[in-house]
Amino acid sequence: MWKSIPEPINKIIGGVMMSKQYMFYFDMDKCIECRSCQMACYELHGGTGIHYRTVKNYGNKGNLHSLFLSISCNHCVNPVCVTVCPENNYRKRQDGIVILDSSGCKECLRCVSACPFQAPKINPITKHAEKCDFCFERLDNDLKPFCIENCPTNALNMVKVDCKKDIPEIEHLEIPLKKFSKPSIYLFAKRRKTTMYLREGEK
Amino acid sequence: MRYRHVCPRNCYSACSIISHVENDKIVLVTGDPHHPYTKGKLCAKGHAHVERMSHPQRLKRPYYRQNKAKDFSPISWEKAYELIVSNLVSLYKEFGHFYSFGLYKHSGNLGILQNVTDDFFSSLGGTTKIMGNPGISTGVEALHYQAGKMKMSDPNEISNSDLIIIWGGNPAVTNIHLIPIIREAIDRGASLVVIDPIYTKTAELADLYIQLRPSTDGFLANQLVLDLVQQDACDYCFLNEYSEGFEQFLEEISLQNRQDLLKICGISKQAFMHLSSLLRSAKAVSHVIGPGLQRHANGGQNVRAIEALAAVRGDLGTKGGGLYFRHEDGMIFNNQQLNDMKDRNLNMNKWIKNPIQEEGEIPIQMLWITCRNPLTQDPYPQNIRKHLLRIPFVVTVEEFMTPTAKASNLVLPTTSIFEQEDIVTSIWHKEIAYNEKALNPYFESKSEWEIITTIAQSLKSFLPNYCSFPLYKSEKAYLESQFNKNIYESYNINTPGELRSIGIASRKTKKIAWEDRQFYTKTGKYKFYSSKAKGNGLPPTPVFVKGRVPTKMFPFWLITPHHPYTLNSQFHFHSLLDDKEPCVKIAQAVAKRLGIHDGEMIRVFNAQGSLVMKSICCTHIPEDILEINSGHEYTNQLIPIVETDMGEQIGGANGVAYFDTFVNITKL
Repeated sequence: MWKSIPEPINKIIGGVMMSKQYMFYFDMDKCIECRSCQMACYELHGGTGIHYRTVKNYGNKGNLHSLFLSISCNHCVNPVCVTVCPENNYRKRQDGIVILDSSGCKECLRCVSACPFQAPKINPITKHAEKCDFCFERLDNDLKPFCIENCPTNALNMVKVDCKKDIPEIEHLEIPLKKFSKPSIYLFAKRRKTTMYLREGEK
Repeated sequence: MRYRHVCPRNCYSACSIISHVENDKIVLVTGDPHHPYTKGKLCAKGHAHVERMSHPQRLKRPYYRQNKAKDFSPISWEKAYELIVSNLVSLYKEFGHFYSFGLYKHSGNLGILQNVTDDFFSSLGGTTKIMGNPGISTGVEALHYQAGKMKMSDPNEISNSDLIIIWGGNPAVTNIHLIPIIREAIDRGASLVVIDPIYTKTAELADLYIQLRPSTDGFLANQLVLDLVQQDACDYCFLNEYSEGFEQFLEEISLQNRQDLLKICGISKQAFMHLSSLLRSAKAVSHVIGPGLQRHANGGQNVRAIEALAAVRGDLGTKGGGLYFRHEDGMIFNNQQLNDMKDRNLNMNKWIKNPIQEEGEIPIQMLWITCRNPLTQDPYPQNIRKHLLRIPFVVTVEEFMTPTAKASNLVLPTTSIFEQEDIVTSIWHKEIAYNEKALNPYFESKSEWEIITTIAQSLKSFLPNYCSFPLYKSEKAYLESQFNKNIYESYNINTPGELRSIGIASRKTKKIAWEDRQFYTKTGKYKFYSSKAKGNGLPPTPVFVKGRVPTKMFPFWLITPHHPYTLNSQFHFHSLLDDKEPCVKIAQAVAKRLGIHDGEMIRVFNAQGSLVMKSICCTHIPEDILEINSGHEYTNQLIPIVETDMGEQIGGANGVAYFDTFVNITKL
């Protein structure tokens, strides 16, 4: 099943074709929840108190087998934010990146409540909605998004895929991602198995 | 403009950082991709350096109070200097020496510029130093007995291993740059084994996880050695040609009973067989020892036992094999190797244990605390507070108003990594790196070099013959004076300026430690029987010694590992800290038995302290273990002074068996 998954991009060259779009790629097997991606993004955007990117644990809290997912705006194929914003501040670029012009934001909070991933957040200082822009300015300079650049384990990366074809479903993964708006995130499920010998005998 | 920096926090990575400065402000920090170990990646704390630097709670000016019962008021630096120097002069006039002037310093900032304080103390012809490296000296001393020196291969070499065994370490939290290296080995077909009483994030990455009773690693290692012997899987070439005393060691461990694995370690036969078969079939095995396992009363002996296992299989000095704990190569600058012969060294454990002045002892009348927050990090802080209360003049050099600063008389604000020149060496990788000054100091803060130099200058005018501290024109000049021939040769540089311009220098020694199998012992051989250990009252061979166990009254081990997003008590403001208050993790079965609900406030107590905190019920914690992350202000009130078996030869005091703390819990 994984053979159909494209290799993560090693170098960014030029733009993308019409039907292809950039997506975040995330390998749950490699994430150690160090949150470097989250903090790098937080720092890049001035440490305003809102995190564009967060790392969530979909495993049971306090129990074995955590399931970490680093998530920001998923730059959906059918982005609801673009539809609901009355000021038309959202735009989906040809390369798939959904960008937001915060300067026109009137804080109506429609995007905040419509987004299934809580990607847009209100900046407490400017009172404008803000979100991940895939670091498109860095892309234009042949650099990867800052979060990807800072992932020490290469769990977070990016791919360029044909959005007309379906992204393969991930089985046995109870993350309610695919139900919504065709989010553009390529997930690698956890496949590593640990043989565990818990303590035995007298406790 | 871009400047180079190095993270000086007490961590393996000593990351090289690049700051991006616009209009006298740092807008961004990034990792330096040219660093051979950190490869341009920073951790969540590293990215918070900028926030830390301009944090509203950061100290802006000196604060003083004469009476520790009163509040602090801001004072000028002139006044602060005057207070310090007049105190020093009057101490000298009263006693005729400086033994009543004490230094209490540790590893809060590992940059060598901060050693200026040690340098100053050593220049006073005899002062008092409170000695001890509570967290790590145990393992360091342990690794000196058999091999004569603590050495370590380049950590990048771990990628060549066939089997990586992590003992009591959690690099996924405390050494994240090691994870991609381990990953590389795994992608090449290696197996990862994690042996730990607690199921950690690193354990989640493992092929095999073995949970064992705390402090019993040595018994498992001994049994694995016996198994190698029985299965004829030892490296007899190593044993015959490069080691001595193996027979005595073998004789000792032959007295052990394999059946006791279950009783002592809590490890089943099946788990042992699984591990031993991996060990036998692997070509090269890397053992990574975390500091956790040596924080027990028998911790040093456990470290010795693991090293012996690596030796018997012939993994020392091989490609992809060896033992990874830390190395001593970074202690190379002049002010890291001071001659303190004249100083009075107080054993930290004894000093904390006894806050009452002993008869005939010269009392500490003035205490200087820097790079240390003992009220949060050291054991038995209640007693340390008594010391601080008794000592008439306590000076703390800090960036924040820590609990220790709050218990002082004078608090001096110091510069961050972005506001001073420095050089940082590593205890783990082979690099040293230069830290440039990018910004002017935050408000009135000053570098430790400037503080010390001003004091020394003034002191020299009052007591011209009693302070030999060398005065330099600048931080840069002071740092330059710390270089020596050994550094130039080891790091292939010709001048201090060269290090400044290249930023990072790698040690040019061989990447594999002990490759020549010439050990630092008298005979040059690896000693399974160490008469030095025997001379220090320890077992001569690396045989397992039973540790401490919980009691009926206090039936839980209290394990206090690092929080992933703070470093000890540093980065306390971090935006990723969900819980500003400490939480205690308890086994679900125990919670059920005691009727404790997840999230309920409970009391954790022992004979020394009692704390109320939120409980988190977990399935992965053994029933006799409670876990609280270290670094919270009050946690260590529960930690008594239990000494480990080693450390005094290295740090002037044995290590502290932090993890041999036993507690009980009750509902409120």
